[in-house]
Amino acid sequence: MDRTVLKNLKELKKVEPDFEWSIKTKRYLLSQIKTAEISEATKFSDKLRIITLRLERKFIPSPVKMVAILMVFLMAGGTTLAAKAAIPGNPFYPIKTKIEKVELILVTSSKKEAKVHLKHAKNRIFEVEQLVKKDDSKKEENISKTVKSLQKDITAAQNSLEIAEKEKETSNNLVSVAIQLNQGTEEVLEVLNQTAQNVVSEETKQAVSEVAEVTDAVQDNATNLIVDKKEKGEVSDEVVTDDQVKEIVVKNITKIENQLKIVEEKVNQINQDQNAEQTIDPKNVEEISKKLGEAKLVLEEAKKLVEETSLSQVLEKVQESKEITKQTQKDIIKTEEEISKVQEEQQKPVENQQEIEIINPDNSTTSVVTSTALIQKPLIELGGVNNEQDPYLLEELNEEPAIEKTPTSIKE
Amino acid sequence: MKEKFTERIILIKALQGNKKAFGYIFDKYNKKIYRFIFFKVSKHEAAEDLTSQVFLKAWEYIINKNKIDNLQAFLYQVARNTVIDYYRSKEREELPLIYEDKDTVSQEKIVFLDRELDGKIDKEKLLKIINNLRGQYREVITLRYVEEYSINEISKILNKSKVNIRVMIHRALKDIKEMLTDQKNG
Repeated sequence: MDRTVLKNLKELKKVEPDFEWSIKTKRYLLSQIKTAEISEATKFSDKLRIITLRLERKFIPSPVKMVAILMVFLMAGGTTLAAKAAIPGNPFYPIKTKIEKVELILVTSSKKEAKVHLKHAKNRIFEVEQLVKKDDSKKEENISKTVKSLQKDITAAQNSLEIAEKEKETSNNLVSVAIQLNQGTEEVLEVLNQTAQNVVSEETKQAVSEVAEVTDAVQDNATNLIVDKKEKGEVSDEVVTDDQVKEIVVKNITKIENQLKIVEEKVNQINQDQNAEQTIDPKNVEEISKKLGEAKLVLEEAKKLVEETSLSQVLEKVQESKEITKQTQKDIIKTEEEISKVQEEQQKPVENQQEIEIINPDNSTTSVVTSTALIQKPLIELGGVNNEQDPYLLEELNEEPAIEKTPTSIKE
Repeated sequence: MKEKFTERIILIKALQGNKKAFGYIFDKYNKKIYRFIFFKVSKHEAAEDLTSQVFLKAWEYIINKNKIDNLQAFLYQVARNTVIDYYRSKEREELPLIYEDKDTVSQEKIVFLDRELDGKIDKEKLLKIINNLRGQYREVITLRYVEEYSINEISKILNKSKVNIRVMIHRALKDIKEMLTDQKNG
């Protein structure tokens, strides 16, 4: 009963004055304003009040608008297009960095964290690509910084994946992240390769090669995880099929093969270098070549095994080959360093050529032009004559062992 | 929210003598004030006259640079006072509709009387019910259920606390219920 009453009461809203009356009264009332005494000068303060009120009114959104705006922000993940495209040197770059930090905070699981780190790593390589194209004074510096950042992101991605494993994340999820990591590191390595060719300073080159190494290792780890879990039967075909895993392994093998080839080329270069022949112990070179051969063999074995046995065994072989290649690389670097040292020293004595007078047994003098380098080296083998003190002494000892004259007589 | 700001802007403009501002105020409030007064005096012409008086008084107030915090509440207060003055001067009592005089409400002018209500209560009875309510109860009921103001707004209009308003509404509804049962029985 009550409700009907109340409902019907609303109907009473229809009670209104006469329309004609409204018009008449309005006209009359407005006419009254003219005749009334009104202050003519509009106060500035009033004007100001109106302006501020208007502005305030403009910016007060209705509740619906506020919710919509909030939702846009939440859904867009807080990124702006301008910030996304920013590279170091761009004023928007710090915003991008902050957005990335926020993205990490918002992450809820370790596997998601790994994905976000990978995403950031991809951002870094995008930035590096853009930086390489640019031509400004800070180019190398920025590339260096970005590449170091990249290293952090890649490492963090791996760490997150490892933590996810410890947290007993499902194998399906782990492997799907590992696959993304695999592909991502592939892209990273490609870009790093190109960058290394376009970079001038030693420092930057060093930074780039370091990151490449780290990325390489991360990729291998990801591959290992994929193979391991798939073989244990913990991964469904929806995530990755056996064939796809095989493909990944084959790619891995190809990668290591290429690394091997590069090392081989270097060895060949050394062998062909005539200067090097004189300075390097041939035994060293032989050993290096032997090792390389070994690495090659192991790799070939691995290739064969791809079709025959379990992929994890294949990976083991591949890893073996890789280790050998790495060691070879180190040996080569050492050898190269030696060569370059020798070459440096060989160039120096041209300036340091000296004319030395040798007093012959019959007291006649012979002048000989010689280089101190030839004199100096063997002396080192002799065990520690300080060649800085007396070049004539050296000369006596090395070239004319028959002359048994005291240093002072030669000094004349 | 926006309305509040709009109104403040209008008020300032009105203070400056802006005719449009006054026009805006009249358009917005004339029907409401008219209804408010009508439910008190129950006479059409009287309600119209009193409504014009209310606005004139409001104009005077604004023109004299007096500050108005809440235009709505202000207008209703002026309306109340105007009705009180009217009664004092006329020395008349509120008459329920069924005893209406000839020169008061003519049925054609009140549109709603021609319409059919869904419920069992018809309009005349409704008005009768309202008129039988005590003055203050009538105010809260009409402001709440006819004009559909919030408790907050009503408390500002009647210058009473929100709790007070709620209590009054509750009691008024009780009275209405009694009246309805009386009508049924009687």
